[in-house]
Amino acid sequence: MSYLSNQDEDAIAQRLSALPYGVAITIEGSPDDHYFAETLDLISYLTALNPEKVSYTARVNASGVKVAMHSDETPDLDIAFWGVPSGLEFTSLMDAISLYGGMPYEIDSMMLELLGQLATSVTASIFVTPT
Amino acid sequence: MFCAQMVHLALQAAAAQPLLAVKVIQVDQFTDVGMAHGVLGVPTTIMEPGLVRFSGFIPGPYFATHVLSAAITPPR
Repeated sequence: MSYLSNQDEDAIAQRLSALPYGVAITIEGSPDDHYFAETLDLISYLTALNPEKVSYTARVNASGVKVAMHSDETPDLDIAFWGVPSGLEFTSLMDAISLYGGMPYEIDSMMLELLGQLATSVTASIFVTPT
Repeated sequence: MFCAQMVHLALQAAAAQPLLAVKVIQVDQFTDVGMAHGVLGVPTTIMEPGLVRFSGFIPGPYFATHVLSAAITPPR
């Protein structure tokens, strides 16, 4: 299934080819869950745009669709998506892949200074809908 | 739209601070998790261990302040 226009496909393929590091995506879910099939379809479509930079593996897990990423060069990043990262969350997934892939990012200087004061682990769960 | 903005901000924060983990949860696909956390609208952000929570999009420095509060607020 094609999710994007040819123009958007090209733009994403270029964005993936610009990644300094490769990114491995792990998808967990139940084979009985249509969301799992939908996520597999979406991620396989995405990785096919540049298999040298992004790859994926699937694992069976009964607790719902979960998408995680890994890169040996950015081991401290801990970002996960619960549910199909489609709709506006596809943009967020691309943002996450860019970060794992070592792309530079901009951040507010005051925010950066405040975050630098953090001394213990915090998990932020953001509840969203795809629209 | 605010969902994507909030997630974008949180991802930047996670990239800048390795002690911050981010989970993006599609509440329509994880209704049990949303109900367990009393989520009534999106985006809702819940930070642990301090159980700091807020709804909507907030500017980066406010987000970072909430992260610090979550780190020092005792779990309820």
